[in-house]
Amino acid sequence: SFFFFFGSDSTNYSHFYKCTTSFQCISVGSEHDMRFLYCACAISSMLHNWSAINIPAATSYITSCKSYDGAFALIPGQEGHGGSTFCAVASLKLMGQLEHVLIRDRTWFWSLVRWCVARQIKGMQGRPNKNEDTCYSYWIGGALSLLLQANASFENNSSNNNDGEQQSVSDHLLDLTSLKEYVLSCQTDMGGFSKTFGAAPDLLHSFYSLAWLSLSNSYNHNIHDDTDGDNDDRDNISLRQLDCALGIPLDRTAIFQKVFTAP
Amino acid sequence: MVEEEVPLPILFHDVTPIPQEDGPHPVCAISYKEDFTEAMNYLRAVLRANELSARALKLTSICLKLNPANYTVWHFRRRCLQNLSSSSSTKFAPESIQSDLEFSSKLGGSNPKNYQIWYHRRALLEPTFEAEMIKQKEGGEKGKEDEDDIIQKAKEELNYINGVLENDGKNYHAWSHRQWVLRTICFPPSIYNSELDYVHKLILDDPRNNSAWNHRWFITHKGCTRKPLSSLEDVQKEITYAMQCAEVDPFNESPWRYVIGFLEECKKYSGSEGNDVMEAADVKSLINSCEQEITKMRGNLGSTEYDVDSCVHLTSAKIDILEMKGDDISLEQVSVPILKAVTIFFTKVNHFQCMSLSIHMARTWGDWNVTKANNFYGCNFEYVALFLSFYLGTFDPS
Repeated sequence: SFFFFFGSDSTNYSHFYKCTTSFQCISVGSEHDMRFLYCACAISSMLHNWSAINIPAATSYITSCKSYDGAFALIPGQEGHGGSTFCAVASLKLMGQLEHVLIRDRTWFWSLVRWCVARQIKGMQGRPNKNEDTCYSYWIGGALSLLLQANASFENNSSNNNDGEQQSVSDHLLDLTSLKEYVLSCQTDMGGFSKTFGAAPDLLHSFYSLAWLSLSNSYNHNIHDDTDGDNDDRDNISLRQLDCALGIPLDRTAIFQKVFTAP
Repeated sequence: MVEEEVPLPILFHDVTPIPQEDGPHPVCAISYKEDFTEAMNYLRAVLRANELSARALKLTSICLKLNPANYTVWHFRRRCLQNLSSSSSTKFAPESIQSDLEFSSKLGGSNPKNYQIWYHRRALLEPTFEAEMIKQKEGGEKGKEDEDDIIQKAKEELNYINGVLENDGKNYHAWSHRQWVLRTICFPPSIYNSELDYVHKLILDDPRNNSAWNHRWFITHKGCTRKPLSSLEDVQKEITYAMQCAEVDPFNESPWRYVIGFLEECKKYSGSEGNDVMEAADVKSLINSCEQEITKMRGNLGSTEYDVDSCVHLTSAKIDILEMKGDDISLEQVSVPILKAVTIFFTKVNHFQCMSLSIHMARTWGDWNVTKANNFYGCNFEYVALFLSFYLGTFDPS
């Protein structure tokens, strides 16, 4: 058995409003924010066991983290941020709440998509007017991918007109060529990827650069309608396909399914 | 007072250090330095023995200087402080709070983005801040002196944050901590003005500091960021403030987000229950006046060397406003700037493709359907945008 630790900020005695429950990373003595909520959702998803999470409460916390610009902050009231936006969107997806919360709210959905798209300079930035950083390719690129996938299903399910014409939304709204160029330019001579061009590499940025490059492989078959089947492979970098919300290879998520669900 | 460095084996002469258990075949074993290994070996021993002593506290200082991100050590340190405290076991002695805030400040200097250090400040202050607030709420007798003392400590904390923000005005941790202080303490109402002044100074220094804009939203909403402002006049003031900033540099995204955020909030809450300040008519005129401002700005920009339609955020705001107005004429007007921008500004073409699709959605949502849109444009609007982006992909943008 396992359980997650709800932290809660105590009640409000000031002129300023306080946030409600969230998750913290250890049983006592930790900050609580969107990162740990995401970890909790990811773990529950992998274990195929949601008994430790109060999904309505978690969903409510996520909504309370919406910033005035449509993105998600780490905690309520804070600035919209690429990392917390991914954590929020991925958590909603894993909890099965994405369509209900975000996709159906068309105004919010599109303003969030636009926010994500606006993060692209050449590489991706994490917040307006900040510098590019390779890890945001995944945080933002991944969030976009999840949003647009969910939107595509939503549209397919709800469209019953247009003579059976499929209202598919283009699922690459980023300038993929530029982004790929930027990420690849952050590879270093000693191996790995750095946060920005010319900086030293580290594990986090190496992982998220590769993760996005893997994600970007799935985009290639869209615009170029393949009469020429070579197009797909030429642009692809040979990487395993990821489960976008979990950030782990698809073949691994299949193993979790096998191990943790009753025969 | 300079403390003599007593070697750990002497300080802990009676303790058997516990080495790290990595198993027989460690994967990617870290080559720790000797001093790190020694310190952590003794730490594991005092942890296991649950020794919450002064020497254990000293040991945590050593371990944290070596690795300030070890949250287990931070938690153990707090337990030591509580145990050594002369007051109750759940609070920290005032001297401990003071010295540990200094300790955190020293460590925090070269680690301004370390979660554990920021949390430690909060963990130290939270018990006294909140206890005092409870007392106040219950009409406690001690009253004014203690209250002033708490407020003074809180102001010192805000001051510390000021210092961190001076080095990096966008430090997310610093802003989160600031919000925590403001939410926790019952400051006198003058705090609103002093915070507004502070954030205004930051915006003047760097109008592109999005964190400062977010804080301005926090302050004007008095920390209740999901509820609208109660006065139309206050909303107008904020919108005017942001528009003035946008006018100076329309390429700056931050003030535009701020303006659209306020307009969307007003629209959402206008005419709703419990909010009789925001009449739908007032909101409509707010939106219209913003539109006029933007049109004027586009005109001004047009007379400069800059290409108006390449000013993404200005055009984006215009489109947002037209969408907010939502009437047929406004929605039709949207397509013009979008298509024009698509043809002109390649790297942002996907942004506008995105916009065009959003209009497509808005129309669908607003009872326009695709058929109507198609008839209006004579073709599938979505594919027009798609085609243009594909077509421009073969263009050399230079």
